[in-house]
Amino acid sequence: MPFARAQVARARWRRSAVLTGTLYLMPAALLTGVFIYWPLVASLVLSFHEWNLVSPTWTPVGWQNYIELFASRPFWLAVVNTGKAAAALTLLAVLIPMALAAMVLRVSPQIRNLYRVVLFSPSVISMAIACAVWLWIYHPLYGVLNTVLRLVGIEGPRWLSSGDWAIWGIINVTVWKSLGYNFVLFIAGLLMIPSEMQEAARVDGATEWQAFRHVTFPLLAPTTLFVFLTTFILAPQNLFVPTQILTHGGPNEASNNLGYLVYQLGFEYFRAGYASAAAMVTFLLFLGLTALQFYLAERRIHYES
Amino acid sequence: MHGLLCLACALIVFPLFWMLSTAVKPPQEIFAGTFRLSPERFTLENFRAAMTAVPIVRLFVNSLVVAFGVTVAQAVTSILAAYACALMPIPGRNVWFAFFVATMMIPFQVTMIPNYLLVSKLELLNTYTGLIVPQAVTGFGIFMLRQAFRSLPRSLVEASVLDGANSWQTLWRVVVPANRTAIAAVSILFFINTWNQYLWPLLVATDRSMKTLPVGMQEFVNLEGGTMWGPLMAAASMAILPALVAYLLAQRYILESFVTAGLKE
Amino acid sequence: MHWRKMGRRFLFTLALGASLVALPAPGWAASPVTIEYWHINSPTFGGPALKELVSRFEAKHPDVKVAEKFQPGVYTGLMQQLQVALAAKRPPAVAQIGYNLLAYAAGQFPHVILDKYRQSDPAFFKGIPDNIMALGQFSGVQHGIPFGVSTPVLYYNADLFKAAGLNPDQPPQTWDDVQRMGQAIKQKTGKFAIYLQQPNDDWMEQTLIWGNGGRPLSEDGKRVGWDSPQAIEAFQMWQDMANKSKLAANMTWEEGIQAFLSGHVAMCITTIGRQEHMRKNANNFQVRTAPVPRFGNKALATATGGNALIIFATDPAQERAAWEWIKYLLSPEGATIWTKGTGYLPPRAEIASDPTYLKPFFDENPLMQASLATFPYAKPWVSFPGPRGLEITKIFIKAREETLEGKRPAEAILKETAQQANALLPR
Repeated sequence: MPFARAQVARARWRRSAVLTGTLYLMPAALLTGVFIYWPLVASLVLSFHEWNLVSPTWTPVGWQNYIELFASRPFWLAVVNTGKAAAALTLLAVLIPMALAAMVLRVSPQIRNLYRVVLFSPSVISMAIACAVWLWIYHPLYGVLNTVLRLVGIEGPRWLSSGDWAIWGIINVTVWKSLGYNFVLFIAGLLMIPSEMQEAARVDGATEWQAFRHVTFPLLAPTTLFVFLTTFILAPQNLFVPTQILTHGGPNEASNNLGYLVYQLGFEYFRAGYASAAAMVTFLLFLGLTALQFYLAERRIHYES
Repeated sequence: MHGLLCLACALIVFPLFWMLSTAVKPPQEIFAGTFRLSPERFTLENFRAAMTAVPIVRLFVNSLVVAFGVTVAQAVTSILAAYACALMPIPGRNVWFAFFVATMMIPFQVTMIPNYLLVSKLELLNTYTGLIVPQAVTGFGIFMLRQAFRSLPRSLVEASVLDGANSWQTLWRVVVPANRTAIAAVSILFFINTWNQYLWPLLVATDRSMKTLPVGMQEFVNLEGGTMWGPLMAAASMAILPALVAYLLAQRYILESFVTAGLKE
Repeated sequence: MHWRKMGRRFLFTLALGASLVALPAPGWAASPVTIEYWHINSPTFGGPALKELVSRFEAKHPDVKVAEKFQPGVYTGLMQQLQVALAAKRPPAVAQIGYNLLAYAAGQFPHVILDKYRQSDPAFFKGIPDNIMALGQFSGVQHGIPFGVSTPVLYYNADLFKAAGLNPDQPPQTWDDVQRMGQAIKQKTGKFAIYLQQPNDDWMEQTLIWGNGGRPLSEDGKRVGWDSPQAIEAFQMWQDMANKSKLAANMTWEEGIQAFLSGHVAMCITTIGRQEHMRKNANNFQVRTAPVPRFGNKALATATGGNALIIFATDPAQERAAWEWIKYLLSPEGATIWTKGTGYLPPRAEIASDPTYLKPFFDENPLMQASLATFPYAKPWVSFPGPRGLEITKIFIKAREETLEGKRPAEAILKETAQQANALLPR
């Protein structure tokens, strides 16, 4: 191809790209603006007011909602629980699907498909229904979980009504529900790694585990990071439904978390301003933490490549 | 390894088995005092009850229309925005990207009420439009697709540009086909999330004829008069079928495109 | 082709939506008025009865159409939907408001004050006893018409009683009986003696306080009553049963019901509204009912559950139609259908013994007798006043949850939380 023609094509692309590119952004940008950022701004303004959704006026209260929030026990319990949940989720809902995906790819292709369907299946059930099912599994007297524990000589806890265990009951359902999708992402990630590299390692005398640890795992890093981030970001939202259905944040706030707290303040107490303040804090907290992770991750990937 | 995998499968799939098994048990057996997976007396009565108590076909159609509409809308807006953010030389594209990604961190309780009021003002309550349009965009989708598009070899886009294709043609002839796996993957997620979604349709669809499955199924849950566990689980068993089928179909496609992509590289 | 069809669908639904909100202008007497009625009556809890009520009412009033809408999540769920609908200025014409939420709704939501109908419909007001009518009043103003009336009762497993060597014809009458019989049940059968309902509301707690001679809220409405000696005594008893003697099961609401229906718990205190569910789902045992146990020789007293009907219609024609609907629901015919469908007690006591109305139903449903016997002792289910009232209820619920955890004595918990709550009551 003559050099000049290529130049012309590139220049034309660049000239038009600014306009067309902005055009491509528009559908998403407009919808985001109207349906996400406008409510966010309204919510920010509302967080400095008191409003019960029905009264015609918003009463300005300055920073009062934020002051009340930072002084309230439920808020700090919710922060701690959300932290616990985010940590447990990012650990369990990343490592388990990774291990499962690595194992599934070792078995013969015919059975592999079966595993893939079975392991994905929790993702297709609605969270509300999943919780209704887990309610039976968790039953302290004759639920299957404690029945099995009793077989091995352990008296299981009251998963949903004990202050020490309720948050773990919630986390467990959430992990279970996130496994399937993360599993599929790992399968995708693993399939993108050329199999020759792993075989080469094995020819060099590495054990299965060593091959995974030193060859597969580093090559899987982008997928892992991605799964890690999305699991983390979605944690507060994914905890919401199980909390609402299984414990209402109880007993005595023991399983409350930020996603549910916002709902509780807004829809159980009907304090829209106060709920908005809690929502703003949640948003900023997760925005900050995610930005930090992005920053660290970008640096790391930079090093590696 | 098979042993371990089988165990994991058993654990993970157990709640679904429990759902199915409850769906085919008569009420007395549902409340049997001991754990028992298979019913003593198999019954389809719960399925009949589920079908007569709520307009389940109607709920089904509504769920399907909404899930399909939202999936297509989210896929289109995400593809376009991700393409612009990943591959087009527009000013401030990282700012745009951050603008979209930050929406993932916004609790949905924030957007719910203002959007409801807007939809209500536009007279769109109890309509498919009202159910679909406010969720036609997702920061998650833009995030995922931008990551995928960025890893596309630049030479592919270059070649298309040198062929004289404009950006629109490049998108649909080169970028989208090369990323069909990623697009399929996020689309499945969009579909499943919408299929299972509860709070938004609860607010917008108050007419029984416009409700979606997860909302309609709540008629079986009543903390005052007693929950109908059998019909609830029967309805739930019927509700997971489309999502499972969608995944089955799509996963074969994904697998194939992974394999072919692997062969090419 | 496919898309065009979808497009038409959208247009169609748009038109449908628009037609639903288009209200007939006042004065168009010929065109029927449509009123929205929000309720919690799912298929197992009065749903079919409601459909019958609607069709009978519409037959009598061809100028009114009732659009009934089920709201999930019982009374709390309905309240949430209502709040949002009010924010959008499109509330239903009539809605069922749970008694525990009534003060909040009456105080915060724009609605129709019903005293003006006393002149036009004296017969209607005369038909309902004053003490029942009072459940819909605050400071003598009629905000709602009491519709669903329920009392808590003690359900018990007659077969477990027999297995423990107890006589199922003699259920416990006092809490001392419960403890004594409970010990026998625990020793002979290894089962829990009792489950006191623990949903996300404070009905059971208020019943305990009333029963021990206390008040959930002081008469002047300035102090909550759950730090009174009577309340502390009752809560301490519950804590001891859950933690020391292990007679009471401590678990979430649905779990507790599951435990009773599966025969793991011998007694269960909950609403009479559950009777049909209990009867139909009990796993191979006979369910019976008795009045809630008394404290020593104190008189029986229970909080009254259920709902009042409030009119939110702003259009005069709608309001009139809504009032006609309420009158029909509480008419002997309406109340009969309603009671049969839900197990709630009829707001008109006299039809319970009337052979043309409910006598056959009560004769066929012996489980209802305990509730009828409790009816004369019914106290209000206090809903805490002021804009922070719902938060106060939640504080009370959390106090119960902490009490049952058993890490601190009831007194410390109740005194501390009562202080928090008092600060939220209107001065």
